[in-house]
Amino acid sequence: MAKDTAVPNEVSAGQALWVEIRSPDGLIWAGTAKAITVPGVDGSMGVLPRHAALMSSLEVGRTRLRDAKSRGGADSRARFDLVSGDGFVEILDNKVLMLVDFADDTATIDVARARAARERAEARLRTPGEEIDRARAEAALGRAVVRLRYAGA
Amino acid sequence: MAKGTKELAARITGVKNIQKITRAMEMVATQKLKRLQGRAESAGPYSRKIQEMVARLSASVRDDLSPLLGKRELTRTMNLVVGADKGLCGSYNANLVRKVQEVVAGSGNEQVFHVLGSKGDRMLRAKGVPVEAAYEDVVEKLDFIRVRNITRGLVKSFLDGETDELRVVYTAFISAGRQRTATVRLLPIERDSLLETGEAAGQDDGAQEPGNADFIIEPDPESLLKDLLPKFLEMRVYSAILESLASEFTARRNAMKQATDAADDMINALTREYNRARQESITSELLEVSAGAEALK
Repeated sequence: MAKDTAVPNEVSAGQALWVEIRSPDGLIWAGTAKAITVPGVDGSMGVLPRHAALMSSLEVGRTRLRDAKSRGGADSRARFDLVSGDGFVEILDNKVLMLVDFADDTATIDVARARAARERAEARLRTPGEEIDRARAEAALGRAVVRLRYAGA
Repeated sequence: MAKGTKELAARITGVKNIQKITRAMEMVATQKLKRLQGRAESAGPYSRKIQEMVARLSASVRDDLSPLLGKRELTRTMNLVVGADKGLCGSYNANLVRKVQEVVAGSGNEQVFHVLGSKGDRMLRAKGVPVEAAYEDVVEKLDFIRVRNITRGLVKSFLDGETDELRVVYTAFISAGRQRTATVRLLPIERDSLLETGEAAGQDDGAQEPGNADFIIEPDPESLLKDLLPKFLEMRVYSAILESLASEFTARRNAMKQATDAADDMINALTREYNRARQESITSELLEVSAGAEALK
């Protein structure tokens, strides 16, 4: 694994945040940002540099990044939104670590695919099946629904 | 041709066919191992970070904030054994069975076993280990949702007081050349062991030492623990399965490599024997021909 603690100077100087978004499937996004809004359980939470140390549960919802610069520099959009799943956030020393079930860039959500996934999951839930298949279908349905809600927003 | 050579030729073909299978299995195991490593590398950092969060959070709260933290008097221990669904992987399953027998022998309280992997299940039952439940195909067709459901069931039995401890018996993947069976306690969660392993993971920079910052905790420590601890346990079980799978594939690859090499040796020996037999039959035929020619003179 690449050393992900190589944080730019502006972060230690308190001028920017270091953001890392991870799911069990891997790193989703890492880079710097001037501001981030995360979907906390008690409502949306805005975070700026020099934020107090904080830990919170996250709900499914919208995560917004402002003045963002991804680590690789490949993603040059300054502001973008993600739809993220249940998880947690930890803020410490200008570093924001999000651990979520999943996260998708709202701009790249494939609406047709999400819609197809929703229909497939609904069909599976209508027919009786094994418990494990139902659990999987429910999870798929939940994701498809939130993807569609935030798609292109 | 003499009788012996035909049989030898058939045996050589037979061994060659077996070798084809073992070689294919070796390659399949190698491929699966590669794919799995990608998965483990993806899940690893997430799992470590969650452990760090749990360590930091649990350092600043009291034990009674979560029923998963408090120690209890042991009467019944639940053991989740991560085995294999298939055999033909050298001593992988046998080592695991030995480890389980050690657990049974060294325990002072009742031990219950839940087993992942049908092969592991059969072998343990054959040895008289009391297996309460077995799950097939969880290991081979690894799926996070299924692991989560199983973990939830085990946590529930702990919360309901049916069991007082939860342990995982699995095969730790230390390096490509070294795997060994191990037991880890998952429940109750011990904060001391969390801090140690969190640091041992070595992914921390100095600023993130556990418990050195006063965290604002939202919505409140109790609710956060309620969300965080089950997730943490799910990841622990998932990682244990990932490691065991990597160990299993490594063991199978090595076993199949040995079998392929042994088949090579066998083919060589049989081919030598076949050539000798063939030469002998040619010599004796020649002798017969020349003896016949001699008789006609």
